[in-house]
Amino acid sequence: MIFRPADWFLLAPELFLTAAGLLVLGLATAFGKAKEEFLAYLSILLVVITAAILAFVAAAPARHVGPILGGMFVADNFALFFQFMILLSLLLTLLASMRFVGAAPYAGGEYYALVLFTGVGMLFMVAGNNLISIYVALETMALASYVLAGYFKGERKSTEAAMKYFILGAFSSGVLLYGLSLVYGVAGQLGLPELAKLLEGTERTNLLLLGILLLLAGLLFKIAAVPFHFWTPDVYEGAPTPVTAFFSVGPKLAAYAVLARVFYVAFAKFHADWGLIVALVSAATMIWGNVAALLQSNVKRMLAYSSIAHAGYALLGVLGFRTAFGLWGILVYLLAYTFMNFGAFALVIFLETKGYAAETVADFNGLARRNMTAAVVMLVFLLSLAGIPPTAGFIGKYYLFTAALKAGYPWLVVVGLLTSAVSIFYYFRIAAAMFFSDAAGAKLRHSDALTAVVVICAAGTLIVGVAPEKVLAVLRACVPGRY
Amino acid sequence: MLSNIPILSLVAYIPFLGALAVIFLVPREKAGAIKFVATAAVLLDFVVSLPLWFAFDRGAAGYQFVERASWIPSLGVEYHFGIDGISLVLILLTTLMGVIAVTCSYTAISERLKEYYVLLLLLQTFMIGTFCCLDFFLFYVFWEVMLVPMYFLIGVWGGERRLYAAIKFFLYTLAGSVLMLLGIIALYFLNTSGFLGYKGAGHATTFSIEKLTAVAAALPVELQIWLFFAFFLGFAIKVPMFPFHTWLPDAHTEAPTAGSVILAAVLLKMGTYGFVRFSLPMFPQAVQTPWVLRLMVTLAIIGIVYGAMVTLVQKDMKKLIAYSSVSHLGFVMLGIFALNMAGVQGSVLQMVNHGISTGALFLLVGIVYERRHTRMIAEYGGLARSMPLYATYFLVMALSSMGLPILNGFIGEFTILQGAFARSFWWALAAATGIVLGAAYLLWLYQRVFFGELSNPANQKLSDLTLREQLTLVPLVILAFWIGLYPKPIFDVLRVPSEKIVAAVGGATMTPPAMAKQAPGAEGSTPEGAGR
Amino acid sequence: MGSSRSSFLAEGTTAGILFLACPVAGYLLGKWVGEWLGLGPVPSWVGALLGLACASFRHLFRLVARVSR
Repeated sequence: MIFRPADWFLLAPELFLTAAGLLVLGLATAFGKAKEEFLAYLSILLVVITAAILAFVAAAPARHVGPILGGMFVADNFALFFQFMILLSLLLTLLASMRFVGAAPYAGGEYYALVLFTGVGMLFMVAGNNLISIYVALETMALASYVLAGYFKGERKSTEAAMKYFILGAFSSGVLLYGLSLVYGVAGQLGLPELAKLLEGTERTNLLLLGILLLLAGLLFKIAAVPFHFWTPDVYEGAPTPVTAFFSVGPKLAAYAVLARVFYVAFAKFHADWGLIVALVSAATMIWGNVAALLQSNVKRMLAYSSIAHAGYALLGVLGFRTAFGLWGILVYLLAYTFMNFGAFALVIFLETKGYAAETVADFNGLARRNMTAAVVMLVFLLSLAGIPPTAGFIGKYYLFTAALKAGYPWLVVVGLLTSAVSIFYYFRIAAAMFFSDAAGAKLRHSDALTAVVVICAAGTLIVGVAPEKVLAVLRACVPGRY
Repeated sequence: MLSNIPILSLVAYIPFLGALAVIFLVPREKAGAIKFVATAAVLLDFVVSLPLWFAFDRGAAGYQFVERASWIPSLGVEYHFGIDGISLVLILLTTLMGVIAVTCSYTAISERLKEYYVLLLLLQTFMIGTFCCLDFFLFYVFWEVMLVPMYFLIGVWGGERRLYAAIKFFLYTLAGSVLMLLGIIALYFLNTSGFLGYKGAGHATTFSIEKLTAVAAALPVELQIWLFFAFFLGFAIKVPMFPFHTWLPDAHTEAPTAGSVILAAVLLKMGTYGFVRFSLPMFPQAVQTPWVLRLMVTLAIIGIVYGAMVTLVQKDMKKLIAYSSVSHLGFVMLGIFALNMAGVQGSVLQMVNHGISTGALFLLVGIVYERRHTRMIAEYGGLARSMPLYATYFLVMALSSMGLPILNGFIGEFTILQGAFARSFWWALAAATGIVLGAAYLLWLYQRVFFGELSNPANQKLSDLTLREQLTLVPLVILAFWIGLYPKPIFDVLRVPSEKIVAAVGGATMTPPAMAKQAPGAEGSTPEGAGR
Repeated sequence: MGSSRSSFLAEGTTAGILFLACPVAGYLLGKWVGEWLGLGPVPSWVGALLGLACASFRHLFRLVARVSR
């Protein structure tokens, strides 16, 4: 193993965020509930500083691109993109949580520290270049997120969600680890590039395929694809809403990065074997996610199923990884998804902080009369989620469908197109409730932190939708290479 | 003179600017100011669109007033506007209908005015944009986003079953157009690197409609048929063609008057425009495949006859006129798939005619609905006595819709029948029964509403048309007579693009080359003679 | 309570056994279907995946849901 001093520079953002998490945790135990708002602002500041360090690292001249720390991690644009996105999701989560956690009767400091720790796990995860380092990073993220799901420990739904998330999550990690050990048993290597090189010469064996399959299953659990999705609605419904918003974006981003990288770099050779399985999973996810969302009357469950459906769309990009559009498409789509999905959840949080349960669609009744701006912004997010132009969701879906068609899955594109037409039905139930209902009520005022979240998300959704060129060009440079 | 001004963009975005002005500059309470700004925007838009008609070069092949700018270069997407004769008449129809839709809503809409006019103006921009597009990606963007304001117009200001009608409208049209997206992506690849087993043409990435049309037209037949049906569904639902028409009566009936007018006059034309602009020139081999052609014509004829028969039994005036659209657009489809000059020209003219007469009929129904709050035919009777002016306008428009000579409907239907007859006697005969039924339902409607005893006391004190209401109707009446008496200017505008389309689908296999060459001139002149 | 404790143990053991048994059963079933229809090795892997997901995971999920009530 070679450790160069320069590698530590490249890892500076991760290390800083780790230190930040520890600092916030320490301060939280020292201060308790009293200084909670201060801790929230501090965490936001620390995340912003991390992003600044990351930007500094990214902009450094003659930046090293390739494996670092003896091949355990890799520094490349792909990782940088996801790291930025993860920091963005952390920032959005922290902003969205401020009022929400503050109002709850639980100590808030640890909450912020836990959010930062999940961030650390994810930052390492997307840069992982070795199955072991990926696994360790994934566990770091997962352990912190189990606690987050059950943060409202006095509420039965929240504890139940945490319990389910923990047991099933641990189980899926076990599956992942088992797959990993099988791959190691066959190949004797865990580094992704080394695996790729080694597998180039070997014939496929059932043991190896089983290993790949189990790895895939573990990752599919994290992105909540059918048939590993059933924990999602319960966990999303039970967890505190900002945490739900975070779960629907952050860990999924990281899991997608790992999925794309592992299957693109290490197992590309066996595309024919896992391709069809991923295609079937993708089709099942799109169909089941959308159809089940149709049947929900609880908004959080509906959005949970909708995010399941979106996982199915993003899998199209994994299938098309050999075309110019595939991995590029995933990046575009995940960017769009982060903005629109978090935005939609932010408005659910907005209603919740205003005393509405935001549980049934009926809680959105007449929102247009009480706060026109909120209703219009929600409409933008819904349109984007449904893939109607000119929004980010359309551009993202366009790329994924293009990739899948090019990769030779026209039937999958048809499924995707038809299910996204179906999705209109449930998204527009919310739209109809907001605009068509005459239910009157007091005007709703904005709160600052949440407004910031919504503005960031809406701006992202519209900019990517209307003037995507610059963003697309940047993202094209972020498609991973093989090192 | 006009070459330096981006006139198409102006026409397309003036309503959009008007919408922004209403949102940001006018407070919610000032109803008068909102109406004023909205009216000013659509009127200005109409005035700005008029020079298009005069500056348009009738003889030039290709697109005019072209505007071109790069939008998403990495995908090859451009902001590309340009029109030919077919889009020209439809754009003018749209800008005119925009003025009428805004002015007819002054009294009909009394709540949430601001949102209403904003949506109406946005809809206007999206519709004009759709007709101007020469880039498929841009076209798709306009085509889809157009559904959103219409959804809200129906859903917020509609009748009792508005929720159902709005979502049905949205789902149906969206389901159709997503498959069109698949077709567009497939064409994109066929132009560049190919996909599946199909080899691409190897050109640079582009969504240019002209270039993709050329690529598509050169494809093998079976691929063309696949792509034709991918596009077909999107257009056929919008038209709507026979088995896909069920959203239309609901949407029309529940929509507010202005919504129905726009829906009938412009939105339905998107579908037929799609067939003329895309399906025929892009997939000439496919449309000439006998079973495809037979299927299309059969659906068109079923639409004509079935639409007319269903219309006969309607008890609700608005629903009656909605169903009559199914029948009328069946005519347009028949003309298009006659694949000859008379058919195509007649179809485009009939699109305009249908916009004028059906739009006017919806307006008229809206006027009486505003006074009586019912559309049931049985509630009326003897209105000719209490509202003589109204009865006159209604009569003119009903006659125009049923195709009486000297009015516009006649020219369109006659030309279409001529085109159909050139292909097959039976097609023309089947379609002609539609005309007879059309006369039957309209005259019967007229008789039940306007003649007889003025028995219902609620009808006795109905006030006749106000000046504003007349002003919304007069332009349509003038147009109806103008097209009925002297359609030559419109045929002139349509000639060159129609020749291009017919040349693409005609000569190759069906008619001998000599006839195909001779046909445009010969048939282009006949309709004028018929009109006299 | 002793009985609930032993039943919990039994449930846990069942979950453990099912975790192994379901994918194997799915694999064999898929293999049989694949050979029957001549589709090659893919159905067996799909079967294993489905066994893992729909039987093992689902059973565990139900178990957790029941216990946490």
